[in-house]
Amino acid sequence: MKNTLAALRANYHWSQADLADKLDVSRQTVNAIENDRYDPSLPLAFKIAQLFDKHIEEVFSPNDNA
Amino acid sequence: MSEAKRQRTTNRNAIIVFILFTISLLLGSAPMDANGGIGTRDIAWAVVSFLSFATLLWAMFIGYKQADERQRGIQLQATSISFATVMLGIFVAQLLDAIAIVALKSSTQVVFMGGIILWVILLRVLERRHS
Repeated sequence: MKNTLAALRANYHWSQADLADKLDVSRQTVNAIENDRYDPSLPLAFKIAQLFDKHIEEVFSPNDNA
Repeated sequence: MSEAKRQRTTNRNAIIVFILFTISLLLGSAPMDANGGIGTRDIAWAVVSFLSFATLLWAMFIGYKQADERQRGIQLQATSISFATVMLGIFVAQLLDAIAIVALKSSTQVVFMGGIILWVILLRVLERRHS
């Protein structure tokens, strides 16, 4: 699953650690999501979308649409 | 809880568990009471062994509770692989005991200590691989 998390985070000038604190996950998890090495659960994906005031499909998209 | 603090807690718990299993191994390696009765050392071995397992379960529970969803997946992978390895180790220990090469009392302690070391190593390796 592709995502725009790194770009969104950059817009807010947040570090990975800042975002990790806001999402209550580890920095490594944020890094893994940004680099497409980990697909977050649906609750975490919604939490990420809500944090950036976006719809979930604006943040995450399937690989075949990329 | 910060990542560094979580890591320190995990390492500290692993060390405590490992020390308890080492003491248990040392107590369990001593010869049994010549009269076949239960001596103070046997009772101490039983108590320390129980404490070792209780502490191991507590450490695993704390680690699981503090982890996020990705880390929980990694912990479950590491636990399942080390559990399978310990089961195999116990089977081998049982065979060695049956042919009177190594006493089961001592070898199971070594197997469990090996399982803990493997678990900690797997956690580190899988964490690096998935982050």
